[in-house]
Amino acid sequence: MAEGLGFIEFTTGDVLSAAAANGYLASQTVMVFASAAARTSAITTPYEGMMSYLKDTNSVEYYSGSAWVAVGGASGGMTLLSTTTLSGTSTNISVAGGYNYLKIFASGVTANAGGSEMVLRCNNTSSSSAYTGSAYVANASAFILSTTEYQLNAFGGSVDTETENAYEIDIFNYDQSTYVKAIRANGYYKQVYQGNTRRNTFNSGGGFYSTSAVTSVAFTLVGGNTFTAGQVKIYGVK
Amino acid sequence: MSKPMVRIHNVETDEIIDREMNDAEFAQYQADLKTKADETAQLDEAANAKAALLERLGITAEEAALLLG
Repeated sequence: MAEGLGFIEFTTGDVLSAAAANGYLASQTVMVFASAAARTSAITTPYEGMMSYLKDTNSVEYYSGSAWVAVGGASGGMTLLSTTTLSGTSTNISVAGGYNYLKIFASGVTANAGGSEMVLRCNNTSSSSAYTGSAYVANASAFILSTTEYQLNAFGGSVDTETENAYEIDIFNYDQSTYVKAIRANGYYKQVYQGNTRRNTFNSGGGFYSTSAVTSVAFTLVGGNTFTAGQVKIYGVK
Repeated sequence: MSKPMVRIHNVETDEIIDREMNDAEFAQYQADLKTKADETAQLDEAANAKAALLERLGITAEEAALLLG
């Protein structure tokens, strides 16, 4: 695909070359695709300034030079980047750059049995001192989070067969090469623990201690169980 | 013996792959199991210590909460 060439005023009698038609016309229209996948297949090398319309999400997007960004995703606007159903022991979801921060919602998360905590791993990283943070769990207490991944359940807490849960996670400056990507996570989950029903409210703050941009987030069950349900929606926020 | 499954969602292509863990992922999985076992043992130890203390004091957990509240 040709790069957009800006403006030109054709005059009567001009014969357009293929390069002129591509550069002044085709590359500077709003191109229509069935989906982002179809667009990626058709345009292998997008240029900054290209515009497209996606039928499946009804969104108009421009290419920033590094990513397709929704028009109208101006300051404070949220753009749905992905919807994923959790499966297996771990589900790893890629994320596009170009936004100020990511807002992630997870809900209806269940596992085949209780006993496994759910954690978030940026770039599927799990290593000592990769994360920092602390949390407060209502009906429990304040505690320091694990440093090898970002906990979304308290110690002793877990995802089980209860669907009554919702998590909201913010990752700030996720696509920057700054030292710490601040993370804020709030959640509510119901679980049956040692025969007792618990309704846990979890409020936490911390960060991913890395200079690398976050290009994927993985939701993982630590403890040997597998996801049986759960939906994760990731939004890019300007 | 098959390894646990993982899901990979490439949002750019909207491709979803469900596959067995590779060796590195399985090593991490086994490390996670050990971490979880250690954590569970600590919690059980704390719970047992709490129960023993309550019995020694002759009070219930609710009565202890009243004292500490």
